[in-house]
Amino acid sequence: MLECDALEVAYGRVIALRDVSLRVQQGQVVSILGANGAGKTTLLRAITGLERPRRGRVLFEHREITHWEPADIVHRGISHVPSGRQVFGNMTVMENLRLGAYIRTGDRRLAGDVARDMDAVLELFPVLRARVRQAARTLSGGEQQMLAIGRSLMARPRLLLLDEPSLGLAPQVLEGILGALQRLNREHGLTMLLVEQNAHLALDFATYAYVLETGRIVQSGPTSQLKASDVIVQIYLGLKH
Amino acid sequence: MAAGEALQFALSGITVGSVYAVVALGFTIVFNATGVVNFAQGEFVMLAGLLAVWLVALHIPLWAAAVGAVLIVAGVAAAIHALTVRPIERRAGHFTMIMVTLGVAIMLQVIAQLLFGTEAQALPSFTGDGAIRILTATITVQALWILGGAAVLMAGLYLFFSRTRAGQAMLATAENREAAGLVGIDTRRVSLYAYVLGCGLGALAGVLVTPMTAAVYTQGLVFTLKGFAAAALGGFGSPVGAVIGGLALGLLEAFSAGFVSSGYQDLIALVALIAILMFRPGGIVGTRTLG
Repeated sequence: MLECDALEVAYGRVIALRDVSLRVQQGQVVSILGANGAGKTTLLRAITGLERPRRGRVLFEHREITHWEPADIVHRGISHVPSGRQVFGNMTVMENLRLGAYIRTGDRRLAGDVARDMDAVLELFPVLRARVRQAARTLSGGEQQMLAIGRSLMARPRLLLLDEPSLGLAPQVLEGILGALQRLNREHGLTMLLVEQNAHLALDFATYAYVLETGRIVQSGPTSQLKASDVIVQIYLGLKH
Repeated sequence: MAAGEALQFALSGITVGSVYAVVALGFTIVFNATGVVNFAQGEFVMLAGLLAVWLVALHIPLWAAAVGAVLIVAGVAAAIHALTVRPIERRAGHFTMIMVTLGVAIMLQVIAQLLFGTEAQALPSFTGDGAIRILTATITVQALWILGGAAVLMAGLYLFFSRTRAGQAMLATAENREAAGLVGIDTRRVSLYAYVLGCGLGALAGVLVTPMTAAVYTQGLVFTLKGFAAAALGGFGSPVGAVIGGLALGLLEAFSAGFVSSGYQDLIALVALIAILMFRPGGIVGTRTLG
């Protein structure tokens, strides 16, 4: 479904990603593990057009989307929940969710679909329902994360990219969010690519994982295999291969 | 102070202030969506006034001349956006952007001088030169047009931003351009629309005010200064602040012109601007600051 082919991204002279290739198959949950600064966020940003790769290609459903504008990539079916949530703080929860469906709200015939999706998102994250008229900046961190995910789902993506959804959240809140994501994958077959610093979480949640270290993929495999190896120790202690 | 005089000053202050408010709203919309402080803003006020005069001289009905002037200015703004804003927005520092927009301002002024000459030119009032007596004060019918026009514009903008898809896209882009792109908003197009809307508001202010003041190619800078002062006074980046700042500046000028001397009103605007930047850089309602 998604294929990254020898991607290279640089900020000036600093190379953030080097020769990164990966594949995500339809219906899969894949995670990218790595320490802080390994290039995880950059990788997601390169996929959704927020960074311009210097080399390499990104293919989505067999079509090349390298160098496309972020807005066009959303239209193709990839939705990105950015790191730090990035909800529109001065706008209400309802407005944020409606903006999530921006690519569909231009067409009146889809109004019914959008309303149903809004309901489904509020069903998935019931705490948001009581807050629909509240400005997003007044929400707690967990609620903002739910809103950011809900906003992304409103675009009806076929592939969801998640950038560190666990950041700064209490364990119970995180559990609720992960449960919701798992349901989306099982019941709706939503494909996900998750970036995580919390390796335990990433390995439990995904079926396949890649390990990034200073901009390169150093290991990959089914999470059941990675769990048995010493990959977590390597990530945390930064041991060389 | 005589109550009658005070009422008169208040009326003229609110009239002038609502023009400043509309210009300041233009500043705010452009700044929020593009990050550019548009020091050419006042030139669009001037340009619309002179264009309306020119179109009336071609025997075009006044209402059509007013609409035509605003449309032409909108077209000019779109071209200027493509040539000067798109290459620098979100990339250049404030200093570069100020230099570029000042360059545009000077260019527009020179073009206006070449096309329309150096004379101040009058535009007829929309519906005659009558005046209405309110208690102890009088207000011209054109001033009522200004007040009504400004009120309609503000209400229209409120509805646009709160109720329409395009308005919401503009607000989202202003707040977080990257997140706006990630929900599918074409932020470069939004930037263009916001620039044209902001400059178009300046043009609307121009056709409303020209019957009272006449139009001359040098007047743009004054409107830029007053609009900028109004926006800063209210709180840069806040539309509500732009309206409050515009009205406050208009009232301040009217009362100082009435009680001190009309020669000091521009000085008052500048002193108010400097004072607000020194003591309350966030403005009356705002929390944002420039830079």
